[in-house]
Amino acid sequence: MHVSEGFLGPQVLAAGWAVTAAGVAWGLKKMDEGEIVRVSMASSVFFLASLVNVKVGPSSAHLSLIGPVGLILGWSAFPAIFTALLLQAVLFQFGGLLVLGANCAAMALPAVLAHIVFGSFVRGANDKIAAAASFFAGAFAVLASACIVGLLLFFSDREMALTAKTIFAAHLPLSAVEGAVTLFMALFLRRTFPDVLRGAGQR
Amino acid sequence: MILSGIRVCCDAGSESRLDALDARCRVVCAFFTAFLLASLRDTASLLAASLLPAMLLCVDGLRGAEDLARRLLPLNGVSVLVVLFLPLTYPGERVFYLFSERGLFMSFIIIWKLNLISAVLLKLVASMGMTRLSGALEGLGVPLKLRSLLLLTTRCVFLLGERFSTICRALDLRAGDASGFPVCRAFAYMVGTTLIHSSDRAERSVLAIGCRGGLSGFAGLASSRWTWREPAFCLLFVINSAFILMASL
Repeated sequence: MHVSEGFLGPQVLAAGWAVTAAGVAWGLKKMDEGEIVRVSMASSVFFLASLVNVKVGPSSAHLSLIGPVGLILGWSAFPAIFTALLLQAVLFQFGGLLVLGANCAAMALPAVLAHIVFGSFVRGANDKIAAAASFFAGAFAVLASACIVGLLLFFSDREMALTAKTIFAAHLPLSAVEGAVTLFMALFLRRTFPDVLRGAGQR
Repeated sequence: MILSGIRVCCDAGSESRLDALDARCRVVCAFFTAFLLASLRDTASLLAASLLPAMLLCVDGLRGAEDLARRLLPLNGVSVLVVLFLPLTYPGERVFYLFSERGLFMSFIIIWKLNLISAVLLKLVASMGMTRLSGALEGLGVPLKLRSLLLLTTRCVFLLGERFSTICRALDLRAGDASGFPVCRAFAYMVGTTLIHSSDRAERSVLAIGCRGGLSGFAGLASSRWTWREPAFCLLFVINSAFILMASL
């Protein structure tokens, strides 16, 4: 899901940083001091989970878990994803520092959207609706993220349109896997610790 | 899991001559140059821009070059994918009926830029480590909440890393050969369990931080001073940027 350095033009990079700055500022505003430790714990859990290779059919994949991040953290997903991506760039050289703004926007915007659109259904009383909503939240977040990455590439170089479409198509099977993981995780958390699904700042 | 990698990278405190410089100056110069490099699209200007990483390497000598090469290696793994993928999807005349000629040139430019931008940012920003970076962000006016979140997340990654490794090993032992939905379910439960444990731990950490005076304890971890070196370093970057811009005209 990361866009590497060198792909994006300065205008797109600046736009990515602007969206990220606004999102992080809003996320921090909605987060009180007591929430910071919880958000950092959740952020590091997802950071570590994204490093694990999950066997999917004949291949394996690193899952991004954007959907669960959004469902659990709400608007705090922006600062949490920003921090996790910064750590990945500094410690592992995944992604990059200049594209951090664009990458954060591409991952955090779908996470927040998943929270806004599907959050109330996932927390609702009906188990079947919650299961369906959590699957769609996970799948939607990945596809929306792939869509934003494609748009970033397209706006950097109009001739990358086919590349952008191919990236989106490549994420279709992954979105089903992410949807399934989000479904199982949401159902598990509903049974064991429903409080965690309320989103940071709303507990 | 590559947790051992986390530790190595974090412990490898940059014993660089660049450490004598103010961290804020390094961050500002690095991002200014990286933005300039991102806008380049021709070989002449990229050739001129290649002097900058060379200059930075001269400061640190052979050991610095080895460290940079080690850090650039995973990024160039991505480059191989770019070389294979971009020419297939890029428009233009085809070479061997398959690869776009302009796509090949574009991937060459992208890989060059990727290495230049990464070299500058890794050498000036990533090599300073999280504590100094947090100090630089403080100097640049980044809010305390975000800096605290950054430092706490770094700490939590190490705290929870051990636990995550244990659960991963247990999963491997129980169902190492499984794939598909059972793996998705096991993975989801593993993340969920860690999340619940981390939530318990967070409650205790909140109380502990409260006892130590709240988030104010995270402020002012690093102090820095602006001497003659910093303006000289900035001037060097401005001259280099002017040289790159002249080459691109």
